Amino acid sequence: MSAFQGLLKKDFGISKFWFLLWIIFLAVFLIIPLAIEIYFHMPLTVIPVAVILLLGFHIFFLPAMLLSMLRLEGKTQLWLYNQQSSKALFLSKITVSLVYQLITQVFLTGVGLMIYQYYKNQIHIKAADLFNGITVVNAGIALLGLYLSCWAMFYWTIYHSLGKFPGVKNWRWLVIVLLFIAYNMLSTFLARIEFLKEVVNKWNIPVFMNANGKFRQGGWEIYLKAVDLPVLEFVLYVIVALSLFLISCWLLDRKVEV
Amino acid sequence: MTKDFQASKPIYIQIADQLSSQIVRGEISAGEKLPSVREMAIQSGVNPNTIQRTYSEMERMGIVETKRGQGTFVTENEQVLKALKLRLQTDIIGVFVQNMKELGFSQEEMIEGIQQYCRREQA
Amino acid sequence: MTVKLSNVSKRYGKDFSLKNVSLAFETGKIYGLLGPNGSGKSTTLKLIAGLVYPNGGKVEVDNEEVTRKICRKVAYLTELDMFYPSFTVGEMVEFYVSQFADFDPKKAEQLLQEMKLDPGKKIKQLSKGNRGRLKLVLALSRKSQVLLLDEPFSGLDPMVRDSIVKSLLSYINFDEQTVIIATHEIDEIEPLLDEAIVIFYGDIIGQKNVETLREEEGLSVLEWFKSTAAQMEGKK
Repeated sequence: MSAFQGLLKKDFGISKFWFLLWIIFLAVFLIIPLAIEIYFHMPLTVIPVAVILLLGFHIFFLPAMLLSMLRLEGKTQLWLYNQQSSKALFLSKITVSLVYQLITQVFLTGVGLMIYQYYKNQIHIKAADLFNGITVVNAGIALLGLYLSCWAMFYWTIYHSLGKFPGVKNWRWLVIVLLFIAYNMLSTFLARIEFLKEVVNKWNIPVFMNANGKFRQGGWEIYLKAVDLPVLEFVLYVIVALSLFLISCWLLDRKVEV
Repeated sequence: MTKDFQASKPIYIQIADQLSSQIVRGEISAGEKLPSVREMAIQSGVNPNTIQRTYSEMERMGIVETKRGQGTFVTENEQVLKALKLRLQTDIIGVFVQNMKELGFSQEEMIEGIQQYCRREQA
Repeated sequence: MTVKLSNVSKRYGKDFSLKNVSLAFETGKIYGLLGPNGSGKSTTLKLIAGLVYPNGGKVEVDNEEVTRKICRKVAYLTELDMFYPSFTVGEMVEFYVSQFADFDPKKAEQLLQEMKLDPGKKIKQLSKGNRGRLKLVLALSRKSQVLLLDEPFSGLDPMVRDSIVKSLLSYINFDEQTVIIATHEIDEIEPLLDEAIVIFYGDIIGQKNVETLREEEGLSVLEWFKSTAAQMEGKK
């Protein structure tokens, strides 16, 4: 077993319980709407909403899973007492969380498709649109999850790097909050500058994302509209995520003392 | 196990003393192989470097011999063993005499006391 | 010198944990780092293990300045638990095998047997004594150049202590390893030591060869430690 496989196995071992809980959570919030629909005889009213909401929650699944693992590692010195690079240590956790996330995303998408199969004649959507929509939504959720995970790692390492200063130790969370506010203010400020807006919106790729649905004569009619994705903005987000990841690795190697 | 050592004397000498009296009492016989340094260290709960020193010291005194690649053996030289026995006797007598003197006994009283003790022991 | 600290200081905020400490440790010897609780023993070991960084000075292991990566040469046993509680003993060993190139699975198996640890048992179900034993198995199964033991006896009953001393003596590789034991239970380990170092609130106040100490001053390490510490306490 290679060192990275060892890390993967370990990270799977310390997180499988939380994954199981997540699956139970998903099951409960699928069964309840189903029960409501059956009881009140209103097919396809609550379940689609539940599926979409649960899928949407996945934006936070990856960072939450990551933080729960990091919280455990922060309790002992075992994680850092390791000769693998910080990148390997983080990547193993991200990989495990991402695999979990893809499993439940595929599962929920499957549930969605099953609903679609049952009520095919009530939902009107083009096959190509359906496929594109599924792909874009799932990829978008996974990517957003990864992006937020980079922030989670960044804040975690900052928080633990501050731990060795008794003066700030009890106020560490405040530093995190201030950092959060500062970054958001800065990004909103930059987003308001006309010139930057123009540059950012110069190159766009159309993707299907915006769904419009209408409930009409006992059936849903869904249209997908092409929305433009500004390439530069996307690249910018990737750069921010990568930088956060690298800063976290650097901090983990030099500053974090648990 | 570990608290058996006196504070004022180096541990390597204390172990050498223990081994010497075991040899004199015949618990370890002439020509017998002593445990390896590591084994001896584990047995007595002591740093192997200390045991190494014990063995070197005993070798210097001629009580043991190190055969290359075979280990450390108790000498078969009768004279050395006899001398060792006498030395231990002298040591014990030395302590005894010192204690008696502190109690205020004269030389004659000491000898008288020993003779009486031995007679009672025999009876 | 395998391990070298040169003018090392470590602060936590304003408080010094170590003040300008210089120490050198050589291969083939067992060192005792002795001092009361909170005197900087653990900090010294953590600095050598690359788990904390000095504010000043230099820490080197095998001529390499210490970072987190130094753990490939340094086996470290903490006073705290260093396990994943949901793992079984066997899984924990397996994890170590995958992470440390110098970890010897055969030695670990042998040690587990000797210490009567069941590989199938979950770590959270182990008694404190058995967790202490497991820590030792993990540390001793590595063929590392340096072995650091932080309070290896803490909270263990005398029977376990004896067996731990025996395993230390059986499994330390005296030709290649440097062993540093930090403890405040001096009596227990005195016969194990080559050298004793007394650390007192961040300062090194003495270093002696154990046998020389007995030979020249007629003192056991414990007596010497008490008198040195009392002198320091007097100066304060």
